[in-house]
Amino acid sequence: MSVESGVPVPGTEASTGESTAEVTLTFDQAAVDLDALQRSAYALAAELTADIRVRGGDYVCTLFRRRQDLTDDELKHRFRAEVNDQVLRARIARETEPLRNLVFALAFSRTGLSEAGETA
Amino acid sequence: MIKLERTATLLSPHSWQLLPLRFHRLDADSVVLTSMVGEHEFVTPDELDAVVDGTCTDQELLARLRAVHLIQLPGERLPAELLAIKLRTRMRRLPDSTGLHIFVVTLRCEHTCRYCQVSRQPTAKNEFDMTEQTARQALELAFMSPSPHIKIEFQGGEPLLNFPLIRWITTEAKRMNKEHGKDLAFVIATNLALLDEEILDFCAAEDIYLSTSLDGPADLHNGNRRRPGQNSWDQAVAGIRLAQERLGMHKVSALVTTTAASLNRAAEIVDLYAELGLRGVFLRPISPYGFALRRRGGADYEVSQWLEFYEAGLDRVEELCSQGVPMMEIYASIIAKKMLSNTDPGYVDLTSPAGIGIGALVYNYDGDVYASDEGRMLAEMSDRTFRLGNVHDSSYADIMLSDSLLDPLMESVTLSAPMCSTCAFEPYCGADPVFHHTTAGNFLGHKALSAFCQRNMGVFTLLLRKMRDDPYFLDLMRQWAQ
Amino acid sequence: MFKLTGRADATGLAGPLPDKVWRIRLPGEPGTMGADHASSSLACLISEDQTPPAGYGLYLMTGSAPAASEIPGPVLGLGPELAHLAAGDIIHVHGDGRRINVLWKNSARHNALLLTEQCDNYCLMCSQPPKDRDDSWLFDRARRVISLLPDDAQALSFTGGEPTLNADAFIDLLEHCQKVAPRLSLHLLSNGRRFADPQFTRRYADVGLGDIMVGIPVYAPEPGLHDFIVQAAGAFDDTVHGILNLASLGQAIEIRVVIQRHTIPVLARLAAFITRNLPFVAQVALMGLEMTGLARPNSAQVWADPADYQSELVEAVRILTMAGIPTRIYNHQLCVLERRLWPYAVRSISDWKNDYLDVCQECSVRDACGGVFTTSGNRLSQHLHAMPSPAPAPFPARI
Repeated sequence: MSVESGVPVPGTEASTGESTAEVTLTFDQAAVDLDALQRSAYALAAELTADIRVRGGDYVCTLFRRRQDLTDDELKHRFRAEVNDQVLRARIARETEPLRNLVFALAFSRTGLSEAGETA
Repeated sequence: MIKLERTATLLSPHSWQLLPLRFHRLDADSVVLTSMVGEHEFVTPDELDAVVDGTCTDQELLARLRAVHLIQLPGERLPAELLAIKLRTRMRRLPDSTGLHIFVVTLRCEHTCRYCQVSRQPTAKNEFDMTEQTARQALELAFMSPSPHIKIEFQGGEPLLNFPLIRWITTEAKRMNKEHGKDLAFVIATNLALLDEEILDFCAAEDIYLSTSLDGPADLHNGNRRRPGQNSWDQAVAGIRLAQERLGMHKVSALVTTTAASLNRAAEIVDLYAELGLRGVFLRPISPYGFALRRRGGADYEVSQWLEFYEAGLDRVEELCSQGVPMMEIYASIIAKKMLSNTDPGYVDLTSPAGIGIGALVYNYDGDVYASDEGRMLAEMSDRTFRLGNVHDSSYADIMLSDSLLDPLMESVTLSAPMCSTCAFEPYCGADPVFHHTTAGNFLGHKALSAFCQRNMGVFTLLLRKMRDDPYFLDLMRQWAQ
Repeated sequence: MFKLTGRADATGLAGPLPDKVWRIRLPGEPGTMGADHASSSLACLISEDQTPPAGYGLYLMTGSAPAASEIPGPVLGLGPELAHLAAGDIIHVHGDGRRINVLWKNSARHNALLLTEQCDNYCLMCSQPPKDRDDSWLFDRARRVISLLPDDAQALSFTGGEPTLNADAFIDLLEHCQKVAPRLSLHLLSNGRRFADPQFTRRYADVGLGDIMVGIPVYAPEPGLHDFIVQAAGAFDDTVHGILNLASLGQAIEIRVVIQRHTIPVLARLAAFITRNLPFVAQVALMGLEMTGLARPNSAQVWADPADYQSELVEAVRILTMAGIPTRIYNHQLCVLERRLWPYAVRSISDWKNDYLDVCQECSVRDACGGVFTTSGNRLSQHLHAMPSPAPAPFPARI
């Protein structure tokens, strides 16, 4: 479920697995929401910070490592994997939101079913 | 004659819909899925994708997911109804605030524990004792709680230094309770060094529980707890044995506080508890407050180190169980209830909404009311964020409806917190606005940077892996969930 | 074991004998002999050398009937299979006196009244295969049995088919029980589907019976497998809704699980489902297969040797009991049950269809064991054996 092109920022070295100061990933806007990228940056805040910009039809994410033991490749894998998962979560949330609301509505309503099951 | 073919009851591709589901990748090839009410199933990463995409053809997997209400057929109502019932059941204790009332009867203490979070006063200074007037006002407030169960916990300093007040509060509470008819329980959190016949007689007569600290073998325990005479461990063990004999084994419990020195001695600590007949061992990490923060000997280890310690302790508990010594790790048992039942274990430090105020209230010796024990300790470091009022001039409504209580409750609730709201372990976890206020400067914190989150995620994933791979441990967790 | 049906020699009858339900008394039993309805349904069981007292509506003798002139009323000769009849037993005499069904055996541990053979499920292992014909007379017959029950009658089961299909007749019968036998401990076997209708459940609860439990089978934790086993689409949905409705009105529920080839792989998950979703049930009964009815032609689909599923059974029992749900194991022989499950085993096979094998004669725990279903014929576990004496030391009940 890979959604990015891994194009290095022009003017810097291509990733050789060594730890350079920053790393860039590009995502197609049609495939990934900004929300997913922001959530990913938030979730990985212990390992990196991210600068997210729009360029044409893409989001360009520049990653800055916080832990010196992470290689460029590892940094990219971490971010890509997290983005994939955030996209998956967003999809599941979208599909299940009506049923989630229904469950809450049933749980907090005063229908007869509310008495069943509470003796435990 | 078959009227309904098995094939007619199977699920063809794209025929099911997802129910609210959250996931966590445990290992490279294992994902745990959880429902809104914390029921779980283990799948592979490919299986997760296939279930979400609608392409899964593994009927046994699909049946498993239907059974725990992670998928359903369009038009079904029963899964949503059952989820709703279970959700209500899990939340049904919420209106029953406040169950735990902590009375800090004195700040005097004769120990100097390295990690103590209380600002101690030398034993002679009585102006740091709670008075009867203050205690009475506090009891009035406590009995205004809707909860049918009230547990009164005596703390300090060393609460036995003000035993007359403990006696007074117990008697007065029982007298007041004749009108309220609540289920009352009493516990004294004490180092047991001051136990004497009078105190034991009283505890036996009034059905009072004793809770103490026992950090491990003598050198470990004494290293943490400085006492004139350096005999804290001997006193604690003697006190435990005496109390067990006089009050009964089940009336005495102990807590472990972990310091850097404890980290590679988990099995010894568990063995000591087993030797003393203490069935429940509560392996807790140290919190960052009070003296612990001020002294380097406090929280001077990483969460990852504590997790290794915890795992070693848990393994040792499991080993003892398999040898016929029935031990239980209490943190795991609290989480077991959340994972394997819809029963709220009532543990104020791991619940959402947070346990501050609505789970527990703290009445300090001077009548100040705090939302939690840790909130009181913060006040001793001049941070009064969690001070809710004073028993002498605040009403119940002043305290329970104050912004000081409602703001942290609302801002920290996990169902709406970033990362928590999509976390697979949200049904097992809790909100800790005091911890995050202390470490991150706001009630919510940033979970990616939170030791609270890191610790709990570590415990949840450890327990789930063990339940997945070790049938004996799964059976233990089922027992502990009872 | 004993026979519940038999033939009678009606040659001694002077005229036609109406289709009727009778309670058996012995000569010399104390009690009123007036002309009221109850005593007109009394039949006197006499032996050859006894002088039959006058005033009974029917006389029964084992062996061939004596000459009509010697007996002061209609007389039937009982075949040898009915020699077990005794005082307090209740029988249905029909076919102009030639056929007798035993409906209530006073000395038996369990008594059950069949209310209908109709059913809206069609379980693969059904021991009472459904028949689609009007048998509402069974409700009338049941009413009469209940009217004739002795005062000290303790317990009665209602079975089918599906007893709730005829809602009005069913509720009427319950109301009759409440009126004439309010202290009876009642056990209703039902697939629970009718209770998905909240109004029907309300009618059931409103009868106000003090001691009635409904035993409802649930065979899987999800609709796919359950519906297949009961051979009815939508059954799981109805049944669980029914259970929830009953629970919301405070009614006692037992969940029954027949252990067969299809249910074994999901037994533990079903136990977990019950603890998470239906924790309010009064008890769970895990039941051994009775190889009769539809279980015979479906034998290949359903048969499983108990010796082969002990680990699944242990896990299910542990899950249920650790969650505080009372659990019973029915219809299993002790020799094929793991020792630590013995505390949960109940001698549950009805008297009239239980028996022991030759191999059981030497068994040290025979008296504690329920034996086998005679109705299963020779479709039994291949591992039945006598437990050696002395019996193993008792295992602690909490495992």
